[in-house]
Amino acid sequence: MPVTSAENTFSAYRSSRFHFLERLKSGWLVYRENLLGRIGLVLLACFACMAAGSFIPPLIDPIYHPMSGVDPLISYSTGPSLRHWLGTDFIGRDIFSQLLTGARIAFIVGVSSAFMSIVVGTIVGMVAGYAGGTTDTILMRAADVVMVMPTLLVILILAALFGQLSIWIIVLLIALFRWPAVARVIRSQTLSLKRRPFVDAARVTGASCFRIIFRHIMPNVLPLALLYMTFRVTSAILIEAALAFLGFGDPGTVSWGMMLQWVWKTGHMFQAPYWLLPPGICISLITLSFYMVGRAMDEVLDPRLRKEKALE
Amino acid sequence: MNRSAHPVVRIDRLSKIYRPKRTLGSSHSSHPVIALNQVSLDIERGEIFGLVGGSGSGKTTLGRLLVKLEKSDGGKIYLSENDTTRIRGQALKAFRAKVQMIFQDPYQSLNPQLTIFDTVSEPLIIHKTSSRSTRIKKVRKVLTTVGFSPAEDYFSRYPHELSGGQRQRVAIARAIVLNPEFIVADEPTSMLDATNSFQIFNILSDLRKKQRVTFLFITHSLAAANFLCDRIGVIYHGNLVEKGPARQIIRHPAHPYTKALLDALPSYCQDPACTFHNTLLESPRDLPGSSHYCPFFTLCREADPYQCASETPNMIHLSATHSAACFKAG
Repeated sequence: MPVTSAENTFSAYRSSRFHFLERLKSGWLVYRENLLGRIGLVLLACFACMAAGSFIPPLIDPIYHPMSGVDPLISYSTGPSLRHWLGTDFIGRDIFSQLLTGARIAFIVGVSSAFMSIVVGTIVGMVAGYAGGTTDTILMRAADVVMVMPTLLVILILAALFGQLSIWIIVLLIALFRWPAVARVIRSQTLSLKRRPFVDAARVTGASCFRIIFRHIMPNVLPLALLYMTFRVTSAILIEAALAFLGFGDPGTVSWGMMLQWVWKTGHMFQAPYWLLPPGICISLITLSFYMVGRAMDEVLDPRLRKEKALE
Repeated sequence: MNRSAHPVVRIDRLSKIYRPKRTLGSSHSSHPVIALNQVSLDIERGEIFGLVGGSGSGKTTLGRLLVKLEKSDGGKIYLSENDTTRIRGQALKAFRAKVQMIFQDPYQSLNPQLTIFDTVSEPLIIHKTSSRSTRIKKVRKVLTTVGFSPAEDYFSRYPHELSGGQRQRVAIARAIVLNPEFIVADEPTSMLDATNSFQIFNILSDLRKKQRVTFLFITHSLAAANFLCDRIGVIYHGNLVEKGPARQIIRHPAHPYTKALLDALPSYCQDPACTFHNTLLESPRDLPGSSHYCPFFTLCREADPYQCASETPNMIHLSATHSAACFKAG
């Protein structure tokens, strides 16, 4: 049966697509050479473990619940002890379990808002770059308008106007303010891609604009978009922390910025270093590690950044 | 004249002018460039028509106009006697199924992110001509036609895993998978070595013989055109200066520019009996003051300082099939 044999060939063809894995492997070989990238990855793995482990303490004992767990014996801030590894906050909640939950919130906020801004930025950038002309002008001027708005200030004003914002609204707002830089980069990449003969070849075969953008241009700009995503994660985590510290965060979630705000508000700023330092250090380290991973990925994508190896 | 009643492609006084974009801040504007100046051609069914010219002569522009990658600024293009100069929408899509192009650089004309199967089957998906299983059969058939065997081994390869010649054959497979009537081949061998070029030539002439595909073969080399083409048109600075049967043009060139191209082929001058036409001036002369002059005037050794500087030569018929745009050709 010719049809079945054709089908078999096709399934064999589908299952033998190792190209992506191969590319990943060769990319990893370059990445591995980068010390910053390795440090960043190790740190990120630690934070990921923290985020994953954040579900464990409340299961051991309800007093370790980061939000509602109150130790019946302690109703004030105490230093580190065996019972509370990093001490307790002003109403006797466990700081260590709060720190673990903070890692989870940081990942959720950072990755989801970065992902949203990347999706919007990539689509706007590709459409503007490929369509050109008036569409390009309108989209890029809109991007300029958003880009010059101070993100933190505008979100603060919105929070002041509408009261407490939930964590998902904050994520959405951060994403909404952070896409223009991505759109610019993707647009410039699209401008060079659309002059490449393979796009002409697709046009000659009759491909629609939609097909050219998503089938031919998108796979070629996606690595760049992923790179930008790591940098967006950093800025999203910082903005969320700043908002929470200033008292405009979501009061229903325990984020590191929220913890800092509690330290400050209850007057423990200079009395309880065991409470102040962990979230501060965590915020710095997670943004640093995302940044380092981004720089190392940059080197994988752009061979010009690679260091020359000494010849034997 | 000896024209067949129904040429596949008829070009009637086609022109293309590139005007400089006006940008903010540039007070001094450059002149528009005439890439094609009223070119007229007939390409008959089943023939390979060679378009020969130097760099910047407008031969690629003509190819891009024919496949509608660019808009013309004057003149008409007919495909099977239907005016296709200003078509769009569904008519344009139907046109795309009939007219295909093979690009110059096989390293750039295949999407690096798509497999060979995805690349070759894409035209079939776009034109919704077949189900998935017939698509696989068709892709296998065209890949075999262009010399991949067994074709299945290449389905899941990516362009970077293939050599230049193999990539160009994939590009040919993509162009023929829809059974087009007419293919523009834009210097398909200029990036390849001699053996690969020879293989590509054989594939093209097989396609012409077996499937009656008509080709416009764009090249800078008269030798390649002589080997492959039935008829040749020579183009200089956007002007068609000579056209006729390939053999006739190689043996008896009429236009000084064609003679200069022949002189430029090293193999033609090793034989002492070979005539060296020597039609090029060593230093170009100034443009004449008048608005009409022969486009080759500045480089032509044989030019008449009065007639060639004051009139634009029209095509003169030397025989039923051979014509040249030179006052001295007759």
